Amino acid sequence: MSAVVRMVGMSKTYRMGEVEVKALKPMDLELGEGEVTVVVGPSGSGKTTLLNLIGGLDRPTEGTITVAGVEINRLDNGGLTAYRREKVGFIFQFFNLIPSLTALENVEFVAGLVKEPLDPRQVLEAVGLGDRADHFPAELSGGEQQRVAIARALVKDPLLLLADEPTGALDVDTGVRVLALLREAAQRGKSVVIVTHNSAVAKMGDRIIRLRDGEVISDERIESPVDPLEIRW
Amino acid sequence: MLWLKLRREIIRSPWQFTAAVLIMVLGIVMFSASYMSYLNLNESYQYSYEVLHFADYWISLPGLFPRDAVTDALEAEGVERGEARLVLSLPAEVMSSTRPKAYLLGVDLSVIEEYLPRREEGPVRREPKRLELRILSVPDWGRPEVNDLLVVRGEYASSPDEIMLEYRVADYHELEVGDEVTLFAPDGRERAFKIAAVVRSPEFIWVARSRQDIFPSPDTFGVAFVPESGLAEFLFAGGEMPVNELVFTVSDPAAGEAVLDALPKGATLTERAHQVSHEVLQLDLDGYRQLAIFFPALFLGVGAMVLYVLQARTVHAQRWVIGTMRAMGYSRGAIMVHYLAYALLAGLLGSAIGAITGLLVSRWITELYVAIIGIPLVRTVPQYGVLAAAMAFGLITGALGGIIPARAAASLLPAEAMRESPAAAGKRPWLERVFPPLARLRALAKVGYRDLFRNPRRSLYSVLGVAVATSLILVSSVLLDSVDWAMRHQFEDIERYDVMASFYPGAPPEVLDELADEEGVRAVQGVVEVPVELHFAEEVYTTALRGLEPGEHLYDLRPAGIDDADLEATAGSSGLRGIVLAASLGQRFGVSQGDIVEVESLLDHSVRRFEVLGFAEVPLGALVFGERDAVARSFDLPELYTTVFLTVDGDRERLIKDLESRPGVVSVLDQANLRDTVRQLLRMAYAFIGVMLLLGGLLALAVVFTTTMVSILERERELATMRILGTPSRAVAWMVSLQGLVLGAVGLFLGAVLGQVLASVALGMWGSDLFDFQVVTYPRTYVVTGLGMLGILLLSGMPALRRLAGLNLAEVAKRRED
Ligand SMILES: Nc1ncnc2c1ncn2[C@@H]1O[C@H](COP(=O)(O)OP(=O)(O)OP(=O)(O)O)[C@@H](O)[C@H]1O
Ligand SMILES: [Mg+2]
Repeated sequence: MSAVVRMVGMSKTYRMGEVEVKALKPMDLELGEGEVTVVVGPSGSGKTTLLNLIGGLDRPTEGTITVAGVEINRLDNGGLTAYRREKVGFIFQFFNLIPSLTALENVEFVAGLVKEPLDPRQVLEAVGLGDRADHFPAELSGGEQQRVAIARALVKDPLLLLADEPTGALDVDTGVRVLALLREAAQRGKSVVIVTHNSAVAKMGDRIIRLRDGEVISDERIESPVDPLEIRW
Repeated sequence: MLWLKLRREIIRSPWQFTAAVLIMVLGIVMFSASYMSYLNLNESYQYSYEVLHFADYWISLPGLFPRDAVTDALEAEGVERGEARLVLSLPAEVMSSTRPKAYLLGVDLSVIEEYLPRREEGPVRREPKRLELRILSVPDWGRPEVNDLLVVRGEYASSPDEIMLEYRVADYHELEVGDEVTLFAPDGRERAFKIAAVVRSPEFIWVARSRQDIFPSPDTFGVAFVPESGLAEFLFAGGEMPVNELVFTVSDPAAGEAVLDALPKGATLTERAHQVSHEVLQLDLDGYRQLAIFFPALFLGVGAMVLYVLQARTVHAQRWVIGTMRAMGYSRGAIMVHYLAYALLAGLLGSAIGAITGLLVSRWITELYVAIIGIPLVRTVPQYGVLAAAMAFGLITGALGGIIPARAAASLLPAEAMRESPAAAGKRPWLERVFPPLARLRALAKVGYRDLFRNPRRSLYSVLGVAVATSLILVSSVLLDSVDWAMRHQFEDIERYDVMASFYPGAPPEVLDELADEEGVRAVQGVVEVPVELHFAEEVYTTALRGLEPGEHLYDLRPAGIDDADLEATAGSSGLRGIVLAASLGQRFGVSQGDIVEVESLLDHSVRRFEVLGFAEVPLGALVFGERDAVARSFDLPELYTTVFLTVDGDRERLIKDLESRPGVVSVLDQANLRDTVRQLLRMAYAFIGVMLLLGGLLALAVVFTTTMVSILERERELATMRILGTPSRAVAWMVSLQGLVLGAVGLFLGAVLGQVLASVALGMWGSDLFDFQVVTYPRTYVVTGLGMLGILLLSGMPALRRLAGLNLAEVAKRRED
């Protein structure tokens, strides 16, 4: 399996005046194609920091991070923007849909940014929201909003799908349907990273990375991951 | 605890607080400075009137009467003080300084002398100068009972060969006590009078020659006071001096009519409200007061809006905090007070700074105004009332802006406060339903314009703020454009002559031919002027009938809408068939084309009736016009020209000297010089527009800054999300800037309309037979205002854009909401 993302000696330190917070200690990690990686760990262990570095929202303090052959830590702001636009699909805990656009328009918004997007309506149908296309976010339930967010991430056919607590604001039934969509995306070759502190969710991963105090304390491959629809918490 | 929170909030975003306070300060300064100076000026006028016994009524008698024949009328009940006097205009000669004069259109410019060409230093060179003096008799013993004089320099006149000059004409020609003034009697005799004093008169705070000529130049017109015995010796061979005017003050307004009834028929009564000087000053003062209330009201309204926007945003953002505080046991009242405090504090601070600054500025304005207008006696009033009002307005503004958000905060239920945000729901704006193609715009553009409708109230405030700022700039520019246009229209299009010579009793045609042949004279036009009274249904109006020769255009009515054919049409077979009225007269007396107007000649009191054939749009000088020969024939005049206009291409000064030395010349006006000075003054006036631009600019800056800042703060999460999704930061910046510009453009448009309306209201208020100005806006005014506001919009959006560029994407995206 070829590595899509390769991190070498990557670390992140936040400096606030005198105080230094080592959010991530130097680590080497690789993420493979078509793989669902679940990152778990207690609060403050550096999960979001890791995700932000992979997603190009932040730069590592040391080390390199290479995505599809490009060392993204060397990119300037414009380059990082282009990287996020072309390669990364984000899914947030609180959905972050654009309130003044309908479900379909939210998806189209992203489709308009990339060169070869998928068809927005088809993607929306694929997440089961074909009939809610013209609804504004305020008119959708939380689960529906999150599915729009996933459609929005999928429509640009990205290399990476990064989800930070995607089920955090959802109930179990809605949550597992969202996870199932992420699993499907991985089956179509995307590298999916899911950050969570819900250990039940972790069971769906091909690989579980555990963090504590900014360090990888275990990196476990799962031979037969659980079908997301069977997860309960 | 809550106070600490308040202080932190102010410190955390000091610019917002500053912007709110700044608007308040501007509004309060404008209000207090202008209202205080209004009160000071009004008080000074009243005080001057009171001390100098300014008359309540003037009665002009139909000719000369022995004093004893008319003074009995003043015994009528209700008359307090009365005076009978002689008023007449005589040609005079003075030794005038040759230095350039800082004087224009009734305004003494020496106060702003720095801006004018420098006067030469060194000893004063003098040359004889002819001018018209309005001579008023004063009692031989003691002061006038009514319209007393204030002696500025010298001693009150006490002998028959002394004269007292009104200070403007004295200052203009640099005449001092002890200098001589030569007066010429109608029969050609002359007599030198010694200047005993330079004085100010309550009747001539504004020096007007007549209602038709309210801007006479002291170059050719002045006012002087001569003891009765002096006039008796000079004009009446030592006999008793007759009188032609009564002036009096009353305790009962009915006394005016009573005195008039006791006088010979033909006497006309003028009440104080229609006395020219008083009326001009009153118009000016009224306009000033309107502005003193109107603009500050706009500013404070905007101030309240800005506070509302800020506080509504704060309350919304702090719903969790409010809910928590309520859950912890803070009362509704405490929360209300807390959220109101910010707005009240801004109001209080703004009004305190504003009122104190206003007090200082008002002193300066009062001084400047007093110096320019020349109010005889100045008395300032204590300004506690205005100070209190200013503070109250500040607090009220703060309360108005803060009350709605504070009440909203207080009425939040703890549980509700902590629920998901109910607001910010997107929906399809009505505009899109009306205009479906909008739905096909690119997504980013759609976000952009839908956001404008998402918080319509805030969009409205942005628009209003820009509109108010624009109208503030525009209204002063439009007023100035209108004055500029009127002045150019008057002095360049209509009055095209370089020199005007007045003759008494008149110049025969040979003199005109002679003048035409003089070296340097390009063209000559002679006109006849008959002083007349127009009798309308209720009212009588004194003016002059000017007879013009069609085809001669040194005084040109064509730009005023009256061409040669119209003028020709006024001539009938045996004199005038009809007349052309100044448009302002038609308006004032409700006369329309085809009406018949009764015209009485003041030369022989004969009365004629003429049809009104048309109206002339002349900004200054509400005259009546007719064809020249017809005018002469109608009033049985000899073939004489009372006024001669000349254009000159040679040495103008020499020609003027030459004219002044001719017999029969009363005065010579250097119109070309006046025209230059008018141009210069107008150019300077445009510089003062800069002040308005600054105020309007600051207002717009503060408003646009707050609204864009708030709208960005409110959408930080959304904007950060777009950036995370890969929208280039430039595109987001464009979208946000365009939103501001679209709102700004709408505001600009509204402001342009508002500015026009306000300017025409202001000009309409002033419009009278004294000045008749149309609303004119030069295209360049729109361009300059538009570009200026555009610059301000861009400038005020900068901090918001900077904040946008510095957004911490990772941090904002994980927030639950804004
Ligand atoms: N912008 C920042 N400035 C300073 N310190 C930060 C910043 N962001 C994160 N940290 C610190 O870095 C550490 C890791 O934070 P991170 O957000 O990655 O944790 P997390 O594992 O996602 O926690 P949670 O499960 O609570 O979301 C924490 O100690 C946090 O305080
Ligand atoms: Mg986290």
